[in-house]
Amino acid sequence: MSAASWALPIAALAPAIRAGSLSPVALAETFLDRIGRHDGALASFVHLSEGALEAARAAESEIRAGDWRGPLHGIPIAVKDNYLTRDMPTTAGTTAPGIEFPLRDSAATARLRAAGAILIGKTRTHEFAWGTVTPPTRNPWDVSRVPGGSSGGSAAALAAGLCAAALGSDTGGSIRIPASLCGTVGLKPTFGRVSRAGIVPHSWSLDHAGPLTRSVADAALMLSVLAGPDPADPACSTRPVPDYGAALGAGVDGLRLGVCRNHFFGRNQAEVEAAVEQAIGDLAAAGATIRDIRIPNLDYSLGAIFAIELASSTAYHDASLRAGRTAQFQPDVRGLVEIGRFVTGADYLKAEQFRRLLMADFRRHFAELDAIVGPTTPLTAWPVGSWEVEIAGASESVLAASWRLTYPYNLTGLPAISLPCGFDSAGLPIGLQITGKPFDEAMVLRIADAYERAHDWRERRPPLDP
Amino acid sequence: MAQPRNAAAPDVFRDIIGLDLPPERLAEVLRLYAAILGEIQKLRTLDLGELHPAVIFDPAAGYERETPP
Repeated sequence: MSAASWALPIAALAPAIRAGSLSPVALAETFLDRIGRHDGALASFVHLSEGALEAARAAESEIRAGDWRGPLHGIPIAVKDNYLTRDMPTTAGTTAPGIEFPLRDSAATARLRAAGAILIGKTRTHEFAWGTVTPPTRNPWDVSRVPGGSSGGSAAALAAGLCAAALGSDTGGSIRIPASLCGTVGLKPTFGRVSRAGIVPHSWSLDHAGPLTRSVADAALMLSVLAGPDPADPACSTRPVPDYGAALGAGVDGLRLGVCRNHFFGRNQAEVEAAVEQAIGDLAAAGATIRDIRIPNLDYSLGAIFAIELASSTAYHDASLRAGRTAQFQPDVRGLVEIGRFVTGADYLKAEQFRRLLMADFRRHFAELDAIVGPTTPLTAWPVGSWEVEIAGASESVLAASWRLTYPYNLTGLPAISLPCGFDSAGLPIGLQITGKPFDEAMVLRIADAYERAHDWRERRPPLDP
Repeated sequence: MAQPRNAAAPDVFRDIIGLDLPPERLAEVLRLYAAILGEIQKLRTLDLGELHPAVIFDPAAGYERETPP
């Protein structure tokens, strides 16, 4: 291995493990050592697996015996703490008394184990996957700043080189926002592509499961293992799973990319907007055709996602609300769960009606487009404790701004990926978001891979000690 | 657990909305809701007529592809 193993993508680790030049045990020990040295400052993990080294030894024995299960065999992967795991406790980020979760595997963690992955630990989530800051986790690029959320622990751990990949969940942007703020790749697949069975629910028709990875190729590897039917998730699709790696390396020449000029542009930090415009220009220079589009109905989308998310979350937490347990939730989450009671049934169903309107808008544009590109977040990582930020000359709540560009794809269920497309003058990562047609993750990955290959953003490392 | 009140004279928050909170907490929650309410009120102005909601009931799903709860 020519580079530090902790910094390499799975696509580089897997061949070395298979060939016997890299020991899964040594790799797991490397990550555990780094967790010991760096996670005191980052607080990205809430639990480390006591069985990780034993699982790594078993993987090493199997591989030596010629029983290589695939690219994830022997790879240490972190799991967001809202996925149930059979050998590690799940808290969903809450310390409220009377709330417990069973020791059994979620569908996603079971699939990872079957593929031979080493589940190294559980990463911090904002309580019940609400919110976009994930306290007390810090951003490895600047520990005075937030990592984003709610999968902030997964993104911070991955960016800091404390795992080779991680699982996240995304209800309004909770994979893509921390991926953008921490400079990793984050993939929210199409709604129904990956089972949510065994993930603590937040909002049934908005929740998505997906990976955070060091490269786009790694996202394809992870999705290939995670995707597939599951009768335990009523929303899980029975569509066949394609070979996500097949389109990597195909480039963007001749592809038609849309840029939605309303909603996604005009209210971003100047350095974010400049970096994304540069990325769009780079894709055009690589042969893609760029077309500006507008989707005016997005003006109504914030009310729609609030109605669905709040009502759903409150329905899930209703027993806790009536029993008074929500008083022990974190103040922001407690307020949101209580507020959900104000959303009427008519509001909820109108939001579901609106959702079809918005889906039809995107469908019309996708008749003539292969993907839509734009920023992932309007701002880079903000200081811990800051609740307002000035964007495009106006003061705005960071929580309201942070999910503005991601939640439309939870309402529409479309696949969307975030990958680094630059850094601001403070050295903080900027995310590019690429969105495709339903179940066309292959196209999203193809475009992201083409952009990633043409740039060296993922070679940069956070300023942590070695 | 709150006891049911007279259905003829219900309390709007406790009995209709189902939120049984002390007055000061209720005021705080209503303040938090104000900005969100503005967005939901905007959604209410849309006339979506007969457009079917995105969530679709499928009576056969439980027989054909789902694990029963």
